Amino acid sequence: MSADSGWEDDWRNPAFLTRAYEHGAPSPVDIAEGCLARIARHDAALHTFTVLRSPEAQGEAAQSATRYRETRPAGPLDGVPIAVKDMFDVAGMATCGNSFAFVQDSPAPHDAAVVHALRAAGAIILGKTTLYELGTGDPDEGPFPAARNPWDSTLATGGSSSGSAAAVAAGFCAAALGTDTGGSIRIPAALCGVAGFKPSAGLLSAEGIIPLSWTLDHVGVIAPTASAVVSFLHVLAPNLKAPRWPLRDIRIAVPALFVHETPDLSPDIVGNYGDSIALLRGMFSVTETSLAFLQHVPVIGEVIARAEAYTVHEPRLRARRGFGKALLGYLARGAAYDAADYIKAARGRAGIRDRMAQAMADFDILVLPTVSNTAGPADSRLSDAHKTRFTRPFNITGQPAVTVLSGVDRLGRPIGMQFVGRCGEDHLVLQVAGAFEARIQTDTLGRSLAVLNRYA
Amino acid sequence: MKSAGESARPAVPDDGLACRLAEAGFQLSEHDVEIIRADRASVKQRLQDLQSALVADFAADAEGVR
Repeated sequence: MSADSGWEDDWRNPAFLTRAYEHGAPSPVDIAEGCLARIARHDAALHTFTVLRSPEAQGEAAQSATRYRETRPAGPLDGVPIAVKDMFDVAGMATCGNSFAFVQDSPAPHDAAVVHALRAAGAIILGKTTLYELGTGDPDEGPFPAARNPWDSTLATGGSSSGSAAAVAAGFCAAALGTDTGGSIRIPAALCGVAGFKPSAGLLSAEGIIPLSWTLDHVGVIAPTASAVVSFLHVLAPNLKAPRWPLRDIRIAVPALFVHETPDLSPDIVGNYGDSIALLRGMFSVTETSLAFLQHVPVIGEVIARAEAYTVHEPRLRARRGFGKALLGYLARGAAYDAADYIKAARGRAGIRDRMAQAMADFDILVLPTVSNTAGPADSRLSDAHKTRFTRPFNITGQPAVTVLSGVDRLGRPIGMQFVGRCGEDHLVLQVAGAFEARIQTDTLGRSLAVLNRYA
Repeated sequence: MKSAGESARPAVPDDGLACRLAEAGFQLSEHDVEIIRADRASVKQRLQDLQSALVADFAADAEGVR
């Protein structure tokens, strides 16, 4: 990968990587061993993985190399090294969710549905990545240390899929699975300068994951770019139509007022949003939209997510201890709500979905920042409503959304821009975001490359 | 007639929240319960605002249909 050639020849892009495998250099063994060597050298500082499958991954890479030599690859991801957030079952490994309440659980007997699909397509699982406790607690209250940001290891990664985002940014793997209940894929992806994709609600199976909030949870992928995510979507949702829209016909909307009314919005984010809109105006038709109804999203999300999380973990709460303090506070709030609260939130959610569907009749893609600030110090904490202001609305509506690297702030920290589409139009979201990321400045691309080279 | 001790006791809402959380397995101090009670009161108010907004929206829609 070079700043001049863009993302096309990034080894982490499965399309590029598998073409190289077909030509014999590098081989899946070279790539897997390269990833494991980088992890061995650098993960003591970044803490992205909780457990590795080194011998198994090396064996699977050798088998993949044999298949390529015999021109019979297992599938479109054969030999592509990936990581899995430790919320997903991987057969033979315990699923801990970075929680002392789960750390002594028995190994999972089967792969989660998406893990199974990726393995069937030839992907090699290098190991499991760390997270905020069970997807919402503190990053440092579980059995594994908090992941650090590869752009600057004194910075936070954001969460909850912290290890997955950091591992991709550091080049420890080509991509990683994550879960997103209020922004848990997109926030760390943005803060670590990579792409994070939350598909349409229900598109990818949540079977075999530890749930947090079963009506808001989304399974998704973190990869270097939106273009790289496409390879995974083809495998994970093979029946989803991927028509090629003429990009010149795409109508973009920007909720500028909703964004600019955000408390403590970073001036760097404001500036980058303006630059991104200017860039988009050169590519698409761009209009402004209000979306004032999104002001009600935080309370809807808080009630539904907390009440469902409490319901999920109630048996373990009664049976044993081990939950961290932050998570206990979250669950206790969920326990405090009553049925009427949950029903009011559910009705509100239906209202938001209707309003959004009406609004999206006038445009195809919504573009807004992913987070209101760039990465802060590793020990900094933002309130739930603050950090998820731009992401949670699309867990409520179930719309597909992806964040991509759109620039850097004055301190060189990555900024993410979010592209959101109508439910079921996941490919369009990735196509438009891919067109955007192909036009980002060479300087930004160079900084991303420098991060990758730092962990070579 | 209340004794002096009873009249000095702070007024704690008898909403059953502390008992409910204890039964659910939480070991919380009175202070923690108070924080959760305040948070819940705020959430209930915001849900009420949401309900009102939705009703207003429906009314506006109905007006538009007419």
